[in-house]
Amino acid sequence: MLSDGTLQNTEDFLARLDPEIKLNLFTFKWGDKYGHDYVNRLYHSLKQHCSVPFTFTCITDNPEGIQREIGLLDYNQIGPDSWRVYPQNQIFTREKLCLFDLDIPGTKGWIDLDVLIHGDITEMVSRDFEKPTFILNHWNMGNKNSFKWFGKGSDCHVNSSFVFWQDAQWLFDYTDVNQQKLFFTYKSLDKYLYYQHWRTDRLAFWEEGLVDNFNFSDPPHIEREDVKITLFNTSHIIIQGMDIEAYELDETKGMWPYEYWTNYETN
Amino acid sequence: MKPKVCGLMNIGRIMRPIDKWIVQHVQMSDAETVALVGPSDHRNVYKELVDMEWLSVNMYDYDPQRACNDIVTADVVFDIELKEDLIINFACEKMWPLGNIYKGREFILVGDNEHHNGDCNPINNNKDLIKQNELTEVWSFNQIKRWGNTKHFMVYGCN
Repeated sequence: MLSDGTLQNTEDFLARLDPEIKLNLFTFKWGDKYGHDYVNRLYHSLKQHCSVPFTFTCITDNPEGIQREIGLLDYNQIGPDSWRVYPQNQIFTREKLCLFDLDIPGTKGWIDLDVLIHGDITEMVSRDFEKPTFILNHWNMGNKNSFKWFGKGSDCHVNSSFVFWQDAQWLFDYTDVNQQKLFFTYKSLDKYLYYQHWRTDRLAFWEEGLVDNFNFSDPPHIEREDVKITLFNTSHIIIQGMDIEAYELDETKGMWPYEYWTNYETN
Repeated sequence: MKPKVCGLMNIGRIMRPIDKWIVQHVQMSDAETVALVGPSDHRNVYKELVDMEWLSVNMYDYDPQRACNDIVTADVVFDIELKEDLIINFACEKMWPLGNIYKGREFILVGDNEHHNGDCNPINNNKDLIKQNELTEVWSFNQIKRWGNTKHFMVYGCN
């Protein structure tokens, strides 16, 4: 179904879901860090690398420029009102968890905009997901100091950029029930998931070799065989003032990701 | 052997000022059961307290790398409920205030103002500890200089 370009509320969105489609995918775009070209290119990368029929919905505060094949859900009304009280630097990107609370049939997934899909993901998204499945940062877990600062609260080896599940209502419920303590304790969603749910073995993870990190893998910036998904996250590099040569997708001109990315249509 | 994580060092019975202060105050307490939360490299305190025959002492740390026979590997804010009469928290800067969860207990609370990126609750003075843990009586307090401009703040009281 084509979007009319206006933002839907959650009720209307759920009512219009096609029950025949068993794979419903989402991305989030709010603020101005990423343009609509990121949304459109992500959609086309999925069309190219996923042979299962799917819907793709962008949860956004600005539908401008987003293609009509992409569903639009209003970012400003998703999730409980009580969560909106907390500042954005408390469980940053907590909005993702609200998807666990929506009654959507089949397999669900969210994909961050700073992700490049460049291999076939059909097998990955066609699995039975007993647990919500996240990315484990295999690329920096082999260092001798990988877990040295766990007790200090500054470790994090979970990444929530490419997440799939069938039923993870418990994760929304746990967060909602413990919201006051959790929002106080964790600055980012990834850290919350790592310290509360990786630690207690409640999550599943993609196998090593399927997902890579363009900026953090050693050596960085190369294309690795069999990798389907590459991350370009840079925000924590800026926040922590790390001395790392890091690129967003649109900054990779002249490097291998740019060719993939710009070959995906934008309009 | 070089420790693989911070907080596993054992410096024997040499008591640092902060450890000494805590042990002195436990001796003043009527508590029969004591919880040591996030002891990290303060395990000397545990060794001192288990030698006090009238006390039952448990240590809690959520870091699985610090797991050993005399420590309960659990997050005391989210995983379990503490039952002890006296709760000694060595890491107030890293967690939701325990006094907000547990009422009618004695507390020895220690926190620092390092503002480490793993700290969700930097402690800038003793009043922070008293207020956020809703202490109704404060029997003793102290502050001890750490490195740089940072300090440990310490309070003994109950709620």
